[in-house]
Amino acid sequence: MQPASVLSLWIGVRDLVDRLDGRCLAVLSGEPAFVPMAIKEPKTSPPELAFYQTVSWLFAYYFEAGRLTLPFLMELFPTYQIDHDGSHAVHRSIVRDLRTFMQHNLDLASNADLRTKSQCESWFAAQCGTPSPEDDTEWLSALLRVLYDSTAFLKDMDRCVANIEGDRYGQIITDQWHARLLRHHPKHEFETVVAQVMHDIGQSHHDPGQITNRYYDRWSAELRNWPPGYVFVTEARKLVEHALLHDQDPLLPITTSDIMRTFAIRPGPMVGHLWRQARAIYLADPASADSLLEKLVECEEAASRGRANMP
Amino acid sequence: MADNEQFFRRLNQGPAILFLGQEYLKSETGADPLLAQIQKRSGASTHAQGYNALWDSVASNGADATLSWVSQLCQRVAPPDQLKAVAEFAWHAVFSSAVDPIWLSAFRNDWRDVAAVYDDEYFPKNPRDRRELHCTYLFGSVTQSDLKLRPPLSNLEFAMRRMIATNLLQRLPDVLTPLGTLVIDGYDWDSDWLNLPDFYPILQSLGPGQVHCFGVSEVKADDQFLAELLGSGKVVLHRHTLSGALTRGRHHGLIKLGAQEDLERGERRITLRNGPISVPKELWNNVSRTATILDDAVLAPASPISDEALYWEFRRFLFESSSRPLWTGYSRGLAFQREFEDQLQEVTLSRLARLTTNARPIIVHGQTGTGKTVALGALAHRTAALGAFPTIFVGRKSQRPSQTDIDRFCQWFEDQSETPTLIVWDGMVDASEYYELQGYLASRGRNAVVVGSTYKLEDQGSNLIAVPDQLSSSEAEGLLVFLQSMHFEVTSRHREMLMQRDPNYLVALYRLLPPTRSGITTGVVLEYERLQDELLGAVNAVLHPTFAMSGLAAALLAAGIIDEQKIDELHGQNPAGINSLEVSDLIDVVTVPGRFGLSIPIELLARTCGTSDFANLAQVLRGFDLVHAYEDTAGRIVVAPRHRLEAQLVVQAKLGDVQEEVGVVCRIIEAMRKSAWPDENDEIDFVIDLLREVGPRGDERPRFASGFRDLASALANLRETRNFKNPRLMLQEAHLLREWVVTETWFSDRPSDAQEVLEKAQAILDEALDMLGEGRGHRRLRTFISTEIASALGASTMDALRNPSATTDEAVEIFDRLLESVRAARTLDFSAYNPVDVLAWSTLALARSPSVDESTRMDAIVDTFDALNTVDEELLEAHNARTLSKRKYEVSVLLGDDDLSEAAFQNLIAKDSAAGYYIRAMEISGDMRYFQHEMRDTERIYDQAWEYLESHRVEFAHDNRCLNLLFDYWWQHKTGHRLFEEDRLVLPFDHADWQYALGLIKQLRESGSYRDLALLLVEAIGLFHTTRLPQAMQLFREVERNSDVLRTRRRIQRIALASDAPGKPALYHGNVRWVDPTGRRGGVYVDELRLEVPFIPVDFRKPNIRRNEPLGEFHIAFSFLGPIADLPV
Repeated sequence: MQPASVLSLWIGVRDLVDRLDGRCLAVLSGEPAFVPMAIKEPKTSPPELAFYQTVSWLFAYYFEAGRLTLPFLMELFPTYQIDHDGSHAVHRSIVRDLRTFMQHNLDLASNADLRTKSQCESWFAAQCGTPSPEDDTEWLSALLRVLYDSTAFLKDMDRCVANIEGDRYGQIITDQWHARLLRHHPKHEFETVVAQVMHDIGQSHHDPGQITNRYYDRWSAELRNWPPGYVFVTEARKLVEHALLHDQDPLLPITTSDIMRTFAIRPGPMVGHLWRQARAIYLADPASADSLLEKLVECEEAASRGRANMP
Repeated sequence: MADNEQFFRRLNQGPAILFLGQEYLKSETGADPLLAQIQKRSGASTHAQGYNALWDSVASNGADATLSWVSQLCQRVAPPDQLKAVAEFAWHAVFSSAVDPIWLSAFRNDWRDVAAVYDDEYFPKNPRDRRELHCTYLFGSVTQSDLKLRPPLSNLEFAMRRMIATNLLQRLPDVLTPLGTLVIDGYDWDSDWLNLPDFYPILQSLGPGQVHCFGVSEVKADDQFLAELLGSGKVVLHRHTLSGALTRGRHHGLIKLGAQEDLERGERRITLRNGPISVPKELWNNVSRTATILDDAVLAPASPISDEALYWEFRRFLFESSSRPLWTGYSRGLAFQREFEDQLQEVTLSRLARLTTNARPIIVHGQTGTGKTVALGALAHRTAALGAFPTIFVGRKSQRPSQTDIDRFCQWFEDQSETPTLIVWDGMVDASEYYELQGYLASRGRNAVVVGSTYKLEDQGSNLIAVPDQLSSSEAEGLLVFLQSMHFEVTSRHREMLMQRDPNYLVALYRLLPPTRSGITTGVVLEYERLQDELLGAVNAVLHPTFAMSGLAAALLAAGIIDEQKIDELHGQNPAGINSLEVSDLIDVVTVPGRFGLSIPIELLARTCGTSDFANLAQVLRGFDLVHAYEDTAGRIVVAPRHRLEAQLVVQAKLGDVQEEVGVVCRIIEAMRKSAWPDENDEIDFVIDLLREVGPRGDERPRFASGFRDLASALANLRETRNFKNPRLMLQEAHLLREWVVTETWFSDRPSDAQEVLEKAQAILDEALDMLGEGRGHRRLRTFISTEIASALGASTMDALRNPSATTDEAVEIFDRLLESVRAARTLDFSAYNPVDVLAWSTLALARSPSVDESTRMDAIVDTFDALNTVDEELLEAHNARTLSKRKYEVSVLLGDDDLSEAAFQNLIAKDSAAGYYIRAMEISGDMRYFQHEMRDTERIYDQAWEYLESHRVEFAHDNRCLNLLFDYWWQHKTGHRLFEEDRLVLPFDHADWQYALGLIKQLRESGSYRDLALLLVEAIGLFHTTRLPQAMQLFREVERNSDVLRTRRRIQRIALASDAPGKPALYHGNVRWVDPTGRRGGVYVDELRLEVPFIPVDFRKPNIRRNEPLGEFHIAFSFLGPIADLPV
């Protein structure tokens, strides 16, 4: 057991995180590049627990706090001749896999989960000579490796930002970095908008956090593709209201199987079209299953007559 | 959303081409960071618009400095997030007016490589390959310094570059096809280097709805070009961004971003018994261009679906599985299994279990429509599912699978898991092609089993699996049960039909089933006997609209053969309107090749039909289920009939006359286009396959014979009037011309211009050879062309003998030229049999002619014997082996039963011919009697024959034929075997013997031998035994370098062992110098020789042997790959 060594490595990692944060703040003229971390710092022993907690902490830092900044900087590695062999990308990716492997119930019928399992087992085998570490020595080997790799990764991150600082054309980079940070809206910003909408439509008894959690990835992706210059509060409100409207749709009394049987059509886009049509009819005038199907047939016949009369 | 739905449907259907304008870098911040820097450097006073600012920078800094500076800037700009979202889609190609490398990097990822196209002289072979995305820089890239590849840096250069950009842009419609969608993003038609007037002609040539332009906020009302494009419906504008649309489409489940299932199946992983193996991307992508790798994703359990969807899947399986396998259909159990499949599976597995370099492929043969394609798909699926053997499937297409890629795949798996690979090739090609692939893999030492399909063969053998023409009664019963499990209501009438046991019932089944499951319950099921009428009725319905309005149309409608919308469209009531003549044409052009199982490339189809209106073509393809279009793994789109049996039916009824069919083929040939991809392309592959079917090698040769000259004329027209010269097509043209003369002469009178036609054929072939040049490239094609030249000369010889106005001397002179051509072909590939056969049949004709004098006759016979005797009989496929025996017999009986008389012998010597020695030696050895009487028990005495020849060696010192025979007889006398006949032959040669052999080889080479490679190997072995090791090793390396011509297991066969004079294998010792990481290969330092030779650890049963360990006692064996350590038996 070498707790001192783990401790010193961990202190090194923390120092590097702080240094990187400070350097980014300076380069971005005071704009934070990382989301604050709320997760508890990991213990440094016993090795198994320390490994679990360290991986969780690193995951939170790499994929939540540094969700935007770290991949952005990694794209600049080739420009500054950092990470020739791609080992940092492998390290970041194995941290994600290890966290999934250790904290989730993997579905071994799923290709993605199988891949995660096999990557992690290979990694453990390379670090501690066994695909599933058992004793403290094995866990310690794994822990030391992840801390060494993290140290190297963060040092190079810091070097990358230092390069940007000294780059004659660094302004191009920081402008783009700024623009991405501006487009990045943490969960709590959406949660505020959700709460406001709920209040405005008189449904403040709903939990805004739950709704935000459900749609966060989707809304973030939408805004990333918005044209530049959008107003967050306005656009976020549109997205939230759209989601709420669809959330509150009643269950239809018919299924797509009913539609296929009634119209004698095969699965495909036409079924989707009629299904949406049925939804619109039902929202306007809720009816029984038979009556809804009748209306749908009438509606479709009218539409085809309309198409036939077109010049 | 409705519009978007249509857009996504188009995008999913493909081909999907992206055009990226120069404004794409603005998408993130609203300003282009690259352009901002360029403008800043140009000075604030610049009036230059857009990227023209580059030119101002060049004026003050110079071209190279500017390009290098811009390249450095580009390294500091990450691709915008929006572009990354766009790049997540599996595009078929990207064209861009942007000149930076930033956008290119956005498309490179772990499932896709990118290949940049900078100028119009480079033609990618697979321009729609989604795994190797071709990205065309219309205006060059700043990463390049060559004037033709970099962006224009002045007004004048821009004018020149615009021409290249226009040429590159003209490829777009070809790549797009009538079915595709062009998506434009980041384009400002006012400031982009590609202005709208230049873009307009391309956009105008496309169909309505084919172009979608994103991020358009305003449209100038007075823009004529745009107004025209919008008015015709060709261009659809979208206000929102493309990245936004794609992201939303993904959320709604309308489109898949990231790797498509068929591009990246389960992360390219194959699970075998000892665990999952990830296949490297490059290897995967290369193999996938021509084959499907059956990985874990293919074998994954199919997702649950509703009964309606299952029924539809079954119908789709019936519709498409004759063209290509639908793997999910196999997973769902939609394939009916015929009884012969058990035998096929058993033979295949037993071959896979035997770890040897197999010499013969397994071939499934039978009539059309008997279930071969479905069976081969099932074989591949079932075998892969066992998890014991990596399996790849090659479908029926014009482009042959790449032998080198398959070899690499097999080797990679052997290195990983020591498992043999199963290659299922449903090519429906000539059996020889499967033999060739199997032989090639064997020559590389691969453990692989090739299973192929072909039409009914007469041959029999353990590797040939015949598919019965009729269903057995138990199969018919099984089919009934199977259909019931698919919700098919089996009536007593159907039971009766099935009991007729016609396997074509399986083909017809698709049309017997109504389009939806609900149709079954209403009892709408056609009767089998009516089906053919109905099918033809469907065709007529398209061609004669009024007829289609009759009750038949209603019946077809009810039966699901056509639908209501289609009837409307086909009647011309659709506003787009389809011209029935065009449809008729389309059916002809698809069904004529389709009846031979060939699928036509869509671009060629469009050109043959002469339709510039791509929209109509696309509409017909989408709406009419007699034909269908599909995309293969390399992005090639082809059109095929649903089933070749249906195509046969339609062709018979619609065309009937052979001349009309030939006419269609000629039109297809004439529609080929030189431009696009000049060297090798799908169109050439397809036309050659088509000519193989309707030409002299096709099954219907007598029927098409009268059309050979027309077909040759179509090819000549292409070559002469359009300068479309391709050596492969020229070979076909010459072949057709020769066969036309031969057929006409056989079945009617000798054509008066026969000699002229044959000379023309030779001239075409000479030109083709000139085009190919010398060197190692195109060796096989040059062999084929040389053989065809020999064949043309053979036909000329025969014609001259028949032609009363030609002299015998003229015939002999032509025959001498033939000999040269045969020699040339054999020098290129000494293992080729065809040139020898040409020589044999020409000799038979010459020797049988009464006007040919005796010595000429004898010389010709000896030339032929020399050729026949040096053919490596063991490597021939059954058909050629039989022909070889027959030829030997036919040629030997020309000499008669009596031995060569002394007078005849002296006469030959007087005429300076050594043929007499050859014949005498064959008489002494007993070979002549053996060939004449095909007596297997004839005793052959090689020592006396060798002594006879040796005693006269001075007299025939320059006669290659006699020297060949001398060498062979000496070898047989000393070893008791023919050269290369045995594995690990011990060579009881003393020093003097080796000196004799080396001297003879030298003499043979000086006399112009075509057996260079074989003799070179023997020479290297000789030098090895006479302790001239450095020279020996140098020669072994030369043999290995040239051994790729050997496409059989002979290449790796350990033909002899290093031996001592009494004939015992020599024993050697040494320590391991190295072992590669896979443990498959290593090197051992041989103490006795003081040199390193390779060894295979598994051969020594020491898979874990390490460096410096002693290997133990071993022999040294020799093959065309050089010496190798060999475990003593």
